[in-house]
Amino acid sequence: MSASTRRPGGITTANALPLAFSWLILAVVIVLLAFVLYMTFVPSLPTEPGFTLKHWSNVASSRLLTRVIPNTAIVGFGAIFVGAFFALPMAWLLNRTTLPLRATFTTMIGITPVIPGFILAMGWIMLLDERIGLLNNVAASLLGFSSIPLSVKDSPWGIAWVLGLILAPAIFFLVAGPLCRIDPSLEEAASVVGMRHLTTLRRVTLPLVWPGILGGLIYVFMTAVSIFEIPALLGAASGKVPVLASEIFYSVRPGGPLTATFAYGAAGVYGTLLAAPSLVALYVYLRVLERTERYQVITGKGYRPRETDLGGWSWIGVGFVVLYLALAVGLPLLVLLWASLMPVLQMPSREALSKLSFTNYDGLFEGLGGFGVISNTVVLVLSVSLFVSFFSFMVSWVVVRTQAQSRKLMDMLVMVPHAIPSLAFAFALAMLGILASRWLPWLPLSGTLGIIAVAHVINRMPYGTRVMNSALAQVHRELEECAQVCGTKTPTIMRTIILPLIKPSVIYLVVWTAMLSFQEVTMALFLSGPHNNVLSVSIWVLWEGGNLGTAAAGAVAMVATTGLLMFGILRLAGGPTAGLVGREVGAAPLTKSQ
Amino acid sequence: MGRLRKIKALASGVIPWCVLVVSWLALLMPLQLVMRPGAETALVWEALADAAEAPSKGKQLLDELVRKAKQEGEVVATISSSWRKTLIQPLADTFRKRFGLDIKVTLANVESSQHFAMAIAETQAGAPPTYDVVQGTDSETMQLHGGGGTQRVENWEALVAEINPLVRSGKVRLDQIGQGPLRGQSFMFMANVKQLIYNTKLISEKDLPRTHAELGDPKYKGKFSQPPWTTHWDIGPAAFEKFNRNEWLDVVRRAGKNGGAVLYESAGVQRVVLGEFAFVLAQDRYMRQIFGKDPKAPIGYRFFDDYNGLTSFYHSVRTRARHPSAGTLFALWMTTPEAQAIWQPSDLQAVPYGDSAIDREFRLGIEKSKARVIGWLDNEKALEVLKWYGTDEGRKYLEAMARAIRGE
Repeated sequence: MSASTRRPGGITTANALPLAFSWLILAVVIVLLAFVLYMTFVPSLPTEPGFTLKHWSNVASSRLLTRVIPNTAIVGFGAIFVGAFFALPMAWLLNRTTLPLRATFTTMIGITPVIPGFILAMGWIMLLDERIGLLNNVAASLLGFSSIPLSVKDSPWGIAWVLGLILAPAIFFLVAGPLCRIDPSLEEAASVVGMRHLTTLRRVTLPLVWPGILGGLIYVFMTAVSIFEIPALLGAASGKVPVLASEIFYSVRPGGPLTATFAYGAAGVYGTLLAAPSLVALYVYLRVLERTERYQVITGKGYRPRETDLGGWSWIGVGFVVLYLALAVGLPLLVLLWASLMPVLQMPSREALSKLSFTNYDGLFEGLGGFGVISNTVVLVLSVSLFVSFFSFMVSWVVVRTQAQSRKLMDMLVMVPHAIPSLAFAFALAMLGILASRWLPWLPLSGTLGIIAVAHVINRMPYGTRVMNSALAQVHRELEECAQVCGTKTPTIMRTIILPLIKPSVIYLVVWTAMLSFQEVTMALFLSGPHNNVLSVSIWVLWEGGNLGTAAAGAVAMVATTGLLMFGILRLAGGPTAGLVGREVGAAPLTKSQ
Repeated sequence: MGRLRKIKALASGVIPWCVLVVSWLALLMPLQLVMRPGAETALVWEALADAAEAPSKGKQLLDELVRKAKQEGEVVATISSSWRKTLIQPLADTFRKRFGLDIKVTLANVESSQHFAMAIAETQAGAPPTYDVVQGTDSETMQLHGGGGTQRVENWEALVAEINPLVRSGKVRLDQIGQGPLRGQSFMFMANVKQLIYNTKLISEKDLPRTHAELGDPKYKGKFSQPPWTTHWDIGPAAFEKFNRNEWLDVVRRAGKNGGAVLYESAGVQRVVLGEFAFVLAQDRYMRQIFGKDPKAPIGYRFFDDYNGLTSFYHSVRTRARHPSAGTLFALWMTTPEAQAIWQPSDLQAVPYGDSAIDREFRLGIEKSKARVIGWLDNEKALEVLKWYGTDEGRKYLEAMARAIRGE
């Protein structure tokens, strides 16, 4: 037990570095948060003086209580249910069993988040709609009905279904890492006392990965309630299913002659309302994490996860994973591919088949912005994933491995950006950028890649710290205590002992963050200038400009690129494709230490 | 006989001619010139020079602007978010070539509705603008202008005449490029008109609503989509002789409740083509775009009988622009047929004063259908309504309208 980590509330030299880096990133969060809150009390633009409470009084209405908040709750909890329904069994099947094609399945799940959400929503409208839904038409013709009144549109449950499918990979990846690193002796002990597989899973495995699961569920809830595009396409924009995220969007961009006038005060109020339930969920999560030692499943005594042989059941497992991939990736990708090959989007028919062509792919590279956009995207994606991993590790180190008095506050603060809509944060950054160009013209912020990178890093920190918290919580302190006894300094311990042990989680985080940055559009669009365009913004601009075919072609290219990129990264990481879940990659360093 | 000769001489006009010329010179000649030695000679030369000065004044101004633009070395401008990125290079190259410039030209696709809010914030903060030149709709530009975000171009009349051959030849009037409060501040270069686009397989032309009020008819329940922005409705108060604001809001609300979805126009049009909705409130360019890609697409268009909003797009040079001269050149050049020939074939929006096939079809379509088209800067009443929307009361009204569109 070292003094550097156990002295209550003490800031030792060993912890000074992680603390400094943690507060650096949290200072940015605090400034932006203060700015968002400040916006709710100023009458107009934040650059103008004045004080008002009208933004708060304006949003208080019966509609908010009877429609907006209930819809938001259904969307949030529904997405959790759908996401967990698919992600938890898949995490177990692909990490703790002998299921065939695990590497391929894992890679495909990894690709899912790259497909833009609005494209997936479009795909689901084409699949499940009373009038034009392919599934409806097939079912109606099989059952002899004129139509099947089932639709993903205009219902909070439909929105929850699509969001749950889209967000399931988040839970999958958050749970997959811990599942790989569970000490097999615990499960073996359960087996010795005669527990069945399912009982072991329920009473031993699940409680051990509980922080990962809880982190994933909270993440999904917060994301689901703050996403705008998908609810908008599926009913929020028509006013039939208003949710808090759509209320924010429409208060920011009312349209018409008012388009040049922001109403960010209202957006800040809605953002605060959205943050409230998320903060409650966060409190619960922190309570669980307080008993962190219960979940320390990696010790210096060695581990190698045990894989369950499913035998004849493995094909049912394969069927389950294939079903998810078909619903979340296969069918929407087909729709995307179809849209990219059609001059004008039409429902599949013999007539439509005769119109298939590659016209939308002609001059696609130039159409997306050429080399400049591609290089911007690469720089952004790499820098964001590296910075997020670094700062997440630092914050999580302080939260999980030290007794610093501020650690709980830090863990709360770092989660806040996920609760505040990204648009509000992007606005705050944009305003700071404008002020900087006025008062600090030497600071390259406004219109640079840097400002988008800052927005992305802040926005991804909650996820990054969930991954790192979960991973660090499982590494027993005895390993670093051994090193400390030998006189090894904290940075060396981090680099040579902890990081190799949590390498699978770090790889998840880097890949996942890179993919999310790759496809993120709201903040990048808001902060874009003449020199910092990225690929996702180019595709969005094409889509919004009515060039759906070219946008779809760009999205297909984006998905294909990401797939190749992922394989490349995994190979560079030194493991096979299965290394994405850390089986091989994670085991190697420990073998050396054994 | 002598008296008779005098009368004949008068009748031949010699004597009155002399009288007229002398009196005319006396009237026009300033006294100090008459008194100055050699003044008569100078007067003749100035009179001759005056005849040739009109075109050379524009040329001089243009040369001066080009010289300054070369010194600035760069221009950063926005182009429509709907324009393809493949247009950027030819636009930049042709612009440089036209004025013999060797400067860096950066053009960025920007959604004006989003950027103008930032532009106003930049102006209010006293910060230099991100872009030297911005393009936006008439209503957006009016707000930027009102916020002090646009810069007046001095001698714009002479410059436009020098740069745009249509103006120089007299085919296009100056007020077609710069009108109302935006005269000399912003320069119109394209426009679109609102209309109904419908799926011919789902609904016939005769079954479409004739007026905006008919959109609330139960027979159209769930059959159409409209965009979340208020542009299809907010010009209504300027279109009717007798107008009741609350009643109009009810009309919008009924239509909002009756609609199938609220979607961006482009998405709405695509879903009409897909067959999800029978018709959509959109704009004319989508028709051309869809037919350009698929001439057999099952769609048609119809104008409303009561009114159809015209949205004009302007380029404006920003206040405190880093490169104001190059920006001015770009804003004025974008009004020319040379620029139009680059962007129009792919974007397919019309230039109301242009002479291309699209422009002629645009005007003919409106003329043939006898559609009542109205724009914000067309008359004082429309302009007054736009100004009223800038007041607190007007803003609240528009907010209510935006909610009404979503059926609230």
